[in-house]
Amino acid sequence: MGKKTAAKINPYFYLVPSMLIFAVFLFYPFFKTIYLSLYKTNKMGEAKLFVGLENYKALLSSPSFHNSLKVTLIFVSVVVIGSMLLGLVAAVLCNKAFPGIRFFSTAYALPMAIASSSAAMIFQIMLHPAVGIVNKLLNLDINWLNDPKTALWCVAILTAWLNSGINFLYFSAGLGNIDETIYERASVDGASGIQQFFSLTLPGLSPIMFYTLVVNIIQAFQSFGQIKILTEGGPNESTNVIVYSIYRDAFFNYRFGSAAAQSVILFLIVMVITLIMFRMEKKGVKY
Amino acid sequence: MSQAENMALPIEGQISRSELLEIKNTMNTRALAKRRGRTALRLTANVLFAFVVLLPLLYAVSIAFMPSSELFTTELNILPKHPTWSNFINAFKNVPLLKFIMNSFIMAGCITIGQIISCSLAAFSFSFLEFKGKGILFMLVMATMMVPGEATIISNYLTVGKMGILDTYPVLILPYLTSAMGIFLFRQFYMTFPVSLYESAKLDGCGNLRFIVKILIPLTKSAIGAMAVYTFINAWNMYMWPLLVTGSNERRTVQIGISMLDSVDSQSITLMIAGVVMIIIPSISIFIIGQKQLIRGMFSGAVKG
Amino acid sequence: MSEIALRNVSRQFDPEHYGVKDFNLDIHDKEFVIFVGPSGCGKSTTLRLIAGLEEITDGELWIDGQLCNYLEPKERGMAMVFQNYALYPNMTVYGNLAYALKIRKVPKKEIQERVHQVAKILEIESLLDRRPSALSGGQKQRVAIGSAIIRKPKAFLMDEPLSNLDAKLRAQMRVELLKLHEQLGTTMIYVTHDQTEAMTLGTKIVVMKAGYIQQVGAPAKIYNNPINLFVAGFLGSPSMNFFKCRIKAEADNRVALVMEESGQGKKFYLSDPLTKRMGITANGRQVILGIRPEDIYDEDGARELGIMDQTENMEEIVVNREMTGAETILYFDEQNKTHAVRLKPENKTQTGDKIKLYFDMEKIHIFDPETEKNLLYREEVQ
Repeated sequence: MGKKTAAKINPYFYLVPSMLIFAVFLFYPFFKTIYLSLYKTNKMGEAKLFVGLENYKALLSSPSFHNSLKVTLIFVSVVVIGSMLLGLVAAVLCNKAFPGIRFFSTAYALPMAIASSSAAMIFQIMLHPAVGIVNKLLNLDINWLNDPKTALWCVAILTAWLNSGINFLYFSAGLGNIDETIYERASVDGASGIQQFFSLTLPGLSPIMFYTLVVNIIQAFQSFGQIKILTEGGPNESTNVIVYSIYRDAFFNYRFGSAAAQSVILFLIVMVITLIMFRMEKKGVKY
Repeated sequence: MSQAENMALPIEGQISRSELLEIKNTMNTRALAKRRGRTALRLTANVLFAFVVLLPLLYAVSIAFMPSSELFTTELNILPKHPTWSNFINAFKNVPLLKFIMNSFIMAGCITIGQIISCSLAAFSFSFLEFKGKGILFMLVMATMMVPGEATIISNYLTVGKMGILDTYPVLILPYLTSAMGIFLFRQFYMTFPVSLYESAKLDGCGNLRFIVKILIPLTKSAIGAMAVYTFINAWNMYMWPLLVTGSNERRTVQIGISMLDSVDSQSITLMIAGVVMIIIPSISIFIIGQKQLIRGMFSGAVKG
Repeated sequence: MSEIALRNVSRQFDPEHYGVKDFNLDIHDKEFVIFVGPSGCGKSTTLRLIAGLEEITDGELWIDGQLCNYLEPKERGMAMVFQNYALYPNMTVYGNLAYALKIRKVPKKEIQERVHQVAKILEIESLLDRRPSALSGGQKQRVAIGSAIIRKPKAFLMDEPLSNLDAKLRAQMRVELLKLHEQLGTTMIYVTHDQTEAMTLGTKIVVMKAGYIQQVGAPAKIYNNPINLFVAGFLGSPSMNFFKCRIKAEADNRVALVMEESGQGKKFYLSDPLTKRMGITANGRQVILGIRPEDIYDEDGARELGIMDQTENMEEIVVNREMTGAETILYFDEQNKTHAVRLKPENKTQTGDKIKLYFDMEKIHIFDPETEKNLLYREEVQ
């Protein structure tokens, strides 16, 4: 082998570790999932009978899956809005120097360091009907996690809290990127603090807002641990988001084919949303 | 050279010096009060908001120190009346918590080191070398960010099942040895260096690997720090994959192990929360120590509008 | 109309560090006042104190007879143009111009009229729909100025508005600013570190250094009658030449300045009135002789003026030569510094040549090396 060939191959050499992992644990399973979704499988997850789009048809006509879609949609909306709002408020509260700012900014970012399972267990106790602090503080007697009306909101709020930490960091970075002098000019121009917030701060955050939104949506779709621990999809399937439904179909009902079809649908939803968002961003005003 | 004496007050004749001083004093105090009021308002808002954000954690710490008998009252019991360490001790006795913590450390540590190595190698190739298909390969890597891990988890489970590595360390670590985000982050950093940095090293007879180890890595400490903190915390907090692929206490990670404390027996609530508090401590400590690195590395250039 | 007065105004950043100290100034209606000085001299701080962006630590700020120390920026009726233009990136040029009016709830129709009127004055009508990111530096500059003048403020505050433009645009904008000032007749307070801008634009210059005012006055007056070494050296380009000299009493009551560190006895004779004005003329006293490049002549020029007998032995080697067309500037080294002479273009002395130089002693300045004060400073001229 000549030196030239070696130099040509060399660049690929550095990609081998990453590409190997991607190939085995991402590209292969990705296509395997699509493949599985077209088959009926046995308990070992082996494709046995080609059924074409039968799994998809079954899903699309299944009320349970419709419910999953609806639940996921509500869950994702609540989580994304909630976590972005929390992060935004925290970032705005911390965007000017004041005594103790370091403590507070650490506090606001902290949820990102906490595991969904740990958080779920803490919330479980907080929402405990008998001993939980929520009922005690509000002087209520609600079985939050066992009531189909409240369970979804509880897991969603928990997830919003978990995701708010990184949003705080994104928005803080976004606020830091806004030129300080435009505020000075605005105050000489006569704008009040509130006017400045709406006409300068919010529009100034819009580039990072878009990025944060996409990241948040993708992340919200993937929430699993908290649902597994808090509600296991119940009560009455009221928290059976797609990811949990995939887990249950595959590892409890051993319907790998159907689970695979749901995975493909999940991927398609995320992809479509991302593409739409990027299209909107391109069309929208940029500066 | 004070000219003040020869310069008349603009409104002389209307007020005297002493009156002026008085006006200024009152205005001064008023302005000071206003400023203090603003700071106080901001501080109060922050205290309230931080309290809400931290409430779950504070509550957890409080419960962890509470004897389980105290928990079951109808009255509002926010702070333990008789704080005790026994929950922590019992948590260690009931489940092999130390083993779980060890497992998590091994897993998260290996994943962190592995990602840093594989990502910096790949990023190096993507930013300093020229080769066929570079654009397509990079697009491919970026596209992986769009695939939710949950969408591939079934096939991955079947794969590792076939490989016969269920319930081992490798099965926990292998799938996470690289990440598109890491490659992107490092590449973003490497792109800020001029190509001449690489070319002059080459002229000095510096090999690629040597260039990475001796020049790139020292120059990208902040990115590596950010990456390390982020990856470690995420690996430590991983839930679904370890849940699927580990079955025995020997390999279980803390996040899975801790839910073993979550049994129907309501007496164990305080115990479980004590366990939760203990496993949160490592990730929070790493976060607090590495927070500055994380922010500097992730937000200084990588995520700019 | 607007009368702005600053009395003993100070801005203290921390116990040790003042941004501005004991600043006294009257700014009259329609004046074009320039704060000039090296960076860190407190000129921008002073402007920000007037705008209300910084808090006055001590002293009083009066605007039209009203004490304004604690008024919010928006209550002061000023408009400001920032060094980086500070355009709102998310608004179009139209939005930028209209913002201040919109906030004041001016009727839409009137806003529209005024925006178009201002856009016309500044020739930016075609840019109204663009965003700041799509503008060139000069266009941004115009928009920034436009959004200031649209409000018809009591005064314009401009913080180094031209410093981000290239030299040609800067010269062009200078002319336009002057025109604008004439047209609008509004007071302007303008900060710059560029002495050329200060000289060409201002009706009144405030030279600052290290937080203190050095001298206030009309450009020409400060130029011809600087109060100290700093002001003398700061204004003018090329700047004033300084030579360390010693006073020497000569025969028949003549007083001469003898250049130090120079072997050939370079000597300059002072006229009687000058000697008197200088005051102390003790033999052997050290002074600094300052003379502007245009007040040094070659033989032809000196003969014409009849000042040949005032300078002795001033022969120098030209180290550099600049020919600008209207004049020739020659450089020579003396006392380890390079000095400049501005001569008529007919002078053909080349680099490396020797040239005899003559000082116009009526135009010299003499500074005390200790206090750096101008010993020939004329109080009454100010």
